[in-house]
Amino acid sequence: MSEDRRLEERLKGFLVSVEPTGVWEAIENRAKKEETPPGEGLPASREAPEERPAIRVTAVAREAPAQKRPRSLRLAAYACVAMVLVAGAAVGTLEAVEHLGKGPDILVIGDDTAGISPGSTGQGAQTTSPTQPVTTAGTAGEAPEAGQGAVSREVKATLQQWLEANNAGDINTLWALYAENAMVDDFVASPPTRTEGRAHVVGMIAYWAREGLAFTASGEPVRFGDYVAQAVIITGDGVPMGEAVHVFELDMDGKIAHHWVTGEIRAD
Amino acid sequence: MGLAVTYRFGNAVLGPGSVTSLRDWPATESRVREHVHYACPEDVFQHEYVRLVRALAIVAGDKETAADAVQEAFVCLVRGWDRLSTYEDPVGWVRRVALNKIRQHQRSLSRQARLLLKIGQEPSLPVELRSSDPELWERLRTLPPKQRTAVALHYMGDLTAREVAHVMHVSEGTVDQHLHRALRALREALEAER
Repeated sequence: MSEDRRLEERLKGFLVSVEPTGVWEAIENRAKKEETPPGEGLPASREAPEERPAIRVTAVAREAPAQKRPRSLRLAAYACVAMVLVAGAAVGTLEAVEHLGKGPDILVIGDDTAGISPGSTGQGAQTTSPTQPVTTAGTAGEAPEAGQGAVSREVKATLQQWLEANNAGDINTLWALYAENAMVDDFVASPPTRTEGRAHVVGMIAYWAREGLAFTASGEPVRFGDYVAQAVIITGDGVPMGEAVHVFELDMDGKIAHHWVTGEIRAD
Repeated sequence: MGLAVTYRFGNAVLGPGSVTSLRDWPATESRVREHVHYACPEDVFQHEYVRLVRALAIVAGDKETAADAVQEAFVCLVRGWDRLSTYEDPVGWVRRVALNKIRQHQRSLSRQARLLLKIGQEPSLPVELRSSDPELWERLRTLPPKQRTAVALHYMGDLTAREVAHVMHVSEGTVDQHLHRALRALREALEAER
């Protein structure tokens, strides 16, 4: 027996035992379950029964390219996708820069602060501070600083408090951390959303926590002129799902006046 | 003179074909396998499930992941059967989907491990296939992924080089090269240990 033949025989020794009994039935059941009837799970206004077969075909086609598709066509398709992605990234970056500057309208969730009052959250009466954006990411009364670098201990403590309160959905602490007319621009959401007013902001963050979303700091926070940035790992029910960057602008009282979130959640 | 052949896989029957001599039989078998028409997805399952799980267990490193990937591929096959049954080779499609699922799973694991390392946590290692031949297994698992896939599909999955090429989306020549290099690397590693 040749050396190669012996090696092949040894490789055959890795064959595992596979028990197919009952597997086919399970596959059929799963296929039936995943086959959502037209309109089910969608509001009536969004029902589009005639479009569903087309959607299913697309989903299946993504699993494996259709057979006998010429290589040049595939390459052209990849090139198109790449161009669209690059264009999308460029537009997204421009939009983000524009928002940092003046904050044009995106999708305003609301500005009515009647939803959650300090009383209802167990918090004492809040003395509302004027939320004039300051030119520093430092503590209250700190002189404006230019440039970038490490953040002060106070700001670090605020960020740590924010992370903990965010992950726990701790409404009281979050209420104390945000300025009364705080804004959150969330670019992870699709479409991007702007949430205005402390009550709505706190409500939204509490919703993240209820959904099991949490953030873990990834590295030290950094100051960029007037802003503080903190990179985080996003976890869903404890499983890492993606990365994000939170950018905060603090007011003169050290409260968060404006907060941007950008990043990516990769659902697997 | 040609020899009439009828080939049967489960409930699927291929009409008579011909081989010129018995020596041609293995080649004809693979041709027949590629062009057999399946009446329903269950026929494909009966024919392909066990050997695909066996082969992909080597690629994935554990049997459970391989079984999950193959089952998911079959779910897709059942759901898209009306369209997929018109394909020239629906079995090849299932193999490719299953292999893609395993690659996705491996990418997801490595991404998770990277993220866990970033926040200072130790990622847990996946459970590896237990083997009665640990020496060879160690060598096999350190082969480049493409070589390992080619070896698994060809030797454990009993696929021809042409079928492996179709699954891996490369040419037959490339598969031969992967197999040749993989066997040489395994042989050399094992000889060096002696």
